[in-house]
Amino acid sequence: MGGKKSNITNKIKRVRVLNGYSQVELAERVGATRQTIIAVEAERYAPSLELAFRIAHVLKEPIDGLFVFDPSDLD
Amino acid sequence: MTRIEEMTEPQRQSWIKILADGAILIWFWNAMTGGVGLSPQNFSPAQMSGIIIKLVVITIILHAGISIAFEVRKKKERFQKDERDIEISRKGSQAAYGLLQLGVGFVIITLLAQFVIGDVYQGPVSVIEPVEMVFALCVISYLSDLYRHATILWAYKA
Repeated sequence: MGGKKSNITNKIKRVRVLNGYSQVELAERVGATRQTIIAVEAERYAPSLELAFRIAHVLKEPIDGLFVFDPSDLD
Repeated sequence: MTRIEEMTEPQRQSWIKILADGAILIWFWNAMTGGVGLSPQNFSPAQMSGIIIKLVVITIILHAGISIAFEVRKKKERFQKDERDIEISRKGSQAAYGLLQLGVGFVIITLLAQFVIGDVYQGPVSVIEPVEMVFALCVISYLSDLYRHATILWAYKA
């Protein structure tokens, strides 16, 4: 959130569409607002660990299959 | 810019509140200074109390009205607010607190300067008279609130 691009990318949009969920449906199932799902999918907001697990659970994907961390700036 | 129907409830509330607080601040500034200028007019204690009471009443009515309106129209979506809204709100509060501290610090330093060096003080703002001090603190309070909502709206946009 807020300008700085996160090191975490995600495949939520693709997996959500494959599972047949709309943004509203996914938001309701994980207990978030639709705007948050939009921001997460656009990688403008890095969700908390709990929300990430909730999304992974609903989309039936392992968390590291949905979220990818780029450690390049740690080296 | 995000369309109104695309906004979360806290984002909509911030838009309404920034407009309401902005209007109140403009009215208050106008009532105290008589237009532009940094110094309030020479009010009697009764006149100043009248303006401050009006300020408080207008603020309470507007904010209560906004809260009631949002409470009534709520429930379209199951989740009105989540972790992102809370994080953004916290960011806004932190920013506003910083500005409030700066403002109060500025009033204290100006007051000390006026108190210590007396008539030699040539600063653009005076806070030595009660009416000046009340004006400065009220303006700082409203500016902090405006800054809070502006920070929130900026964070939603980013």
